[in-house]
Order: sequence, then structure tokens, then C-alpha cells
Amino acid sequence: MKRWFISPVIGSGISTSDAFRAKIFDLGVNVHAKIPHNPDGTPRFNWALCLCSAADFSVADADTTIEPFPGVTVDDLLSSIPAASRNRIQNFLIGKGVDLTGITLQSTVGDVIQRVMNRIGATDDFRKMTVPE
Amino acid sequence: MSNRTDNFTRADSSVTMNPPSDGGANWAAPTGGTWGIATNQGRAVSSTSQSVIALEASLSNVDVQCTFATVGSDGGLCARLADDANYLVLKVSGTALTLFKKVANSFTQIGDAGAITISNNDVIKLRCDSANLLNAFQNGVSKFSVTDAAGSTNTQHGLRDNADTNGRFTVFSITDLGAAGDTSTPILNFMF
Repeated sequence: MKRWFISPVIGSGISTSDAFRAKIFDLGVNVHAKIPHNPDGTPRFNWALCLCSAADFSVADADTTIEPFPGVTVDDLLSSIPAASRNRIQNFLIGKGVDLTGITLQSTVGDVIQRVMNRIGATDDFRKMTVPE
Repeated sequence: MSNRTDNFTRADSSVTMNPPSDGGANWAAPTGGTWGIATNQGRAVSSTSQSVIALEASLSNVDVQCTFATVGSDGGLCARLADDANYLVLKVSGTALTLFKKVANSFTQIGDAGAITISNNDVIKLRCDSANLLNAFQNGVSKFSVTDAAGSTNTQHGLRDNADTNGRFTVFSITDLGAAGDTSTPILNFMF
């Protein structure tokens, strides 16, 4: 199963064994993380957009610092998502500086993920992100 | 300069891995670790932290590939290297295939194959294309890919070992991906 998350970035960056990384890397799931860097090599943001795969996400779901995207697929309409879940991710992303102007109930989860990509300055299409199953 | 290769078939040495078998410019180790040859295999001689050694290819969009005759505890490939502070690392161990970028001396983990077993004599490849798609392969099979522009114009590529002298390398190559160098466009499948 694949899911999208916003994960805190942890680590010191001083070695490969304590590299800057998405926290969810350490929770037993496969991760493709978008972590743009500053000219000095430090992460530009203290959070990362992550496409993850795992048979069991229970550890990640139990970590309240890791925010899951609601919905089953990126093509799900926001109108199909319970209001509580929708409002939660909306407030979370606005807090991260993501511009959600123009996002409506007829927008998809993928539309929101692309706004996160825009926020972190990624120029590629999120649909090209892959992660091992 | 274009493609580079080294089969490490030459006299044993505990002080140098040079000269590469393709007759091109020598291996250079910006970290300062010592690399050598043992029984026609490349190896890190000194147990140096985050040691890298690379060949100049004058190309940034390449396949970097090596046969890991003996998989060490923390070896791998480096690519798009400018100096000791800036390059990509594909860490290879018996249970890990993990990609890092090193920018201004800071490491960031950007991809991982998840649960994996890497055995002696496996061929590991890191493809770095012009769209900055970074694709890691084991024995010709893609294990994961990510997109990151770190070091996208750097042209040295090679090997790495992190305080590990057990790894042994045989056939190493840097292969030009061509003028376009973009491998991210899917091949169309026609159905009749």
C-alpha cells in the first residue's frame, strides 16, 4: 500500500548514519522523500513531502508528528473525504505555508500534493515519484 | 572524455588504485583515504570515514556501475562529485541500498530500497539523467528512483567506503547516457 505523508526532518547531517532525513524513514516503511536543501547543505524546510509504501503503517500512524494525507488515491475528490480529515490537513498545510488558493471540494488529493511540491520548489510532477513496494 | 572503465586487473598495491585500466586520468581521492589493489580487485586500504575515490568523466548524465565482488559493511558508489563536500552517495551493504546527497558537507538521505539483500558479485548501478532522475539498480533491476538536482553539473564519479576495508570491487564503469540523457520519459506501449 502506498500513502503520502508530511514528515518532520531529523538528523544532524554530519554523516550517512545520521543524515538529514524524513523521520518516517526510521519507522519501517519505504520512503521517497522530497528534501530540498539550502546552499549550506541544510534542509530548506524542517519537514518533507514523502511517498511511502508499507504493509503496515501503524507505527507511522501512531506518531503524531507525522501528518498523513487523507484519501485512498491521489484522484480522490476532496468532497469524498470526511470534513474533519479535510480540515485537519488544510490547517496543517496552511501552517507550513502551502498556498491552497483555488483548491475546492472538487479538487483532488493530487491537486493538494502538487501545491506542496510547489511550496518546496520541486519542478517535477509528483506523479513521477515512485517508491519500492 | 566520455566513458570510463576500470577492471582493476593489475599488480597488488596498498598505496594506490592507479592507473585505471582504460588509460584515462587517474583515480583521485579527495577525502584523503588510501585505496589500492588486491588480487585484481579494487579496495579501500585505510579505514577512513566517508572515503570516496573518483574518475573524471567530463559528463554528468551517466550510468555509474560496479560489480561488488565482496560486499562490505558500508561501501557503495559516489556520483556527480565536485569535491569532498559535494556529491551523491549510493550506500551499498548486505542489507541496504540507500541514496544520500552531500551538499556543503551535510548528508541528506533521499532514497532507500527498503528491505533488500545484496550479495557478493551483485552489479549495482546508479543512473543520473538530465532530468535529475536518480535511479538505483541491482543486477539490472530498478530498486528505486528519486529526483534531486544536487550536483547536477558535476562530472566525477566513483566508489565510496565508510570506515570499511572489507569491500572489493571488480568491473567499474561510467557510461554516457547520450546527448539527451533523459531516461525519465516512459516508452510508449502500443496495444492492438
